[in-house]
Amino acid sequence: MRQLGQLESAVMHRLWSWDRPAPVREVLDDLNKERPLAYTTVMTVLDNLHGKGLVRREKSGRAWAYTPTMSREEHAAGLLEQVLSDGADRGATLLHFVGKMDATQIDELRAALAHIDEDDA
Amino acid sequence: MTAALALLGFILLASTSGASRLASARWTQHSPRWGVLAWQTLSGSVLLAGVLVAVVLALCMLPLKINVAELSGLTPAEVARHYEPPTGDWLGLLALAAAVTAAAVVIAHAAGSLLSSFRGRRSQLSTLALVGRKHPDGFILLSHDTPVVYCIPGRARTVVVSTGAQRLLSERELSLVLGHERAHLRSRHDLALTASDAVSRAIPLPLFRTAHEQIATLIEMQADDSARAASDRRSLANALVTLSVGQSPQAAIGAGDTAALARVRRLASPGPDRLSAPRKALVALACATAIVTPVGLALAPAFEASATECCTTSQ
Repeated sequence: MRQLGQLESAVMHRLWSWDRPAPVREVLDDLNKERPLAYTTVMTVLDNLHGKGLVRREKSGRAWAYTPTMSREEHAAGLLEQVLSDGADRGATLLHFVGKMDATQIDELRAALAHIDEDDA
Repeated sequence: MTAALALLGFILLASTSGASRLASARWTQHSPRWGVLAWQTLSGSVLLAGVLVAVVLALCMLPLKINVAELSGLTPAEVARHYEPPTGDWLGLLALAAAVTAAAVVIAHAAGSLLSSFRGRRSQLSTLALVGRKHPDGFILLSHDTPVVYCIPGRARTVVVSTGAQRLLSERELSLVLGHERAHLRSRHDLALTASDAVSRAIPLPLFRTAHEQIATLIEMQADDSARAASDRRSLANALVTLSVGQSPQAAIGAGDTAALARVRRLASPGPDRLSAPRKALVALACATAIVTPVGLALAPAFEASATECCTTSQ
């Protein structure tokens, strides 16, 4: 199952960099440059990604052509949304190094830091 | 009945005077670990007292009276007589029902939190596997301008750094921030937070809300103490300010990270764990007292009866 995760990652990276619908054949040919893979393997991976909602597909001739549903940036933004959100994190899902603050609080923070500098000087 | 009233008095005292004294204490910042323990003990003693209120009111109906009888040298019948509330059985039953309900609600909240955090972490990790890159220094690098550093507790024990954060921090600052996050992961601070949060949501006593907020701040300070040297602490304070400035400020005033200012001020002082040995002993004694007192109050009627009876019979 670990292997499958790495493959999923490799497939997504290609789809993102090409930025256009790609059929299984094209993904397979590119992946084969690094390691030998079966058509069915790549087909299964893309099918799984489709099941997870990470790619959508449209008919291109007789084969399916796949596109990512979200860009890398949108995925990253989604992750950060969870980190930065004010919504109560009930189970301490994540621990953020420092939270958001308003302008007044930031001024206080800068003043406190300057105070440390003064003590050192 | 008097035991129940004494326990309620204890709960009142602990949740008002006890809470405010601990909240205004300075020593908790000197040793955050002991501070967290103190808050957990205070909360625990109040919960214990609450349960014991139900137990003493219902004792004449519970098999526990046999144990109390053995402890105090009375017969179970005598125990029942001394603990029976003047109003009758219904009060004990009501109290027991309330205690069981409260316990169930706490457990439900805790279970819900654990489930929600399990799902949240799994979703984070699977997306990170897709869009993140493993950095040789042992964290996951995420391509995004907003400067964030965070950790994902649990089995994965992952630290995530955004490219925005990497750009703003010096190498030294980044390694100190990583140290802070790893301290969180090592100490399993997420468990302490889950517990205090579940209790504060389940039982609307101001003490539990305060305890949760204090524990949240103190664990951040404890993790800050992974930086020991004065120069490191200054660098960590710098990183704190840099990262908070880099994240877009909220439009609304208030809320936001209230612990940050206290953390920066605290990092100005040298070295962690400045609680002296006598002080630690005092805190340990206070914690032990907090736990033993409700039990003592609950057992007092039995022991008092035993003492008077033993004195009258010997005469």
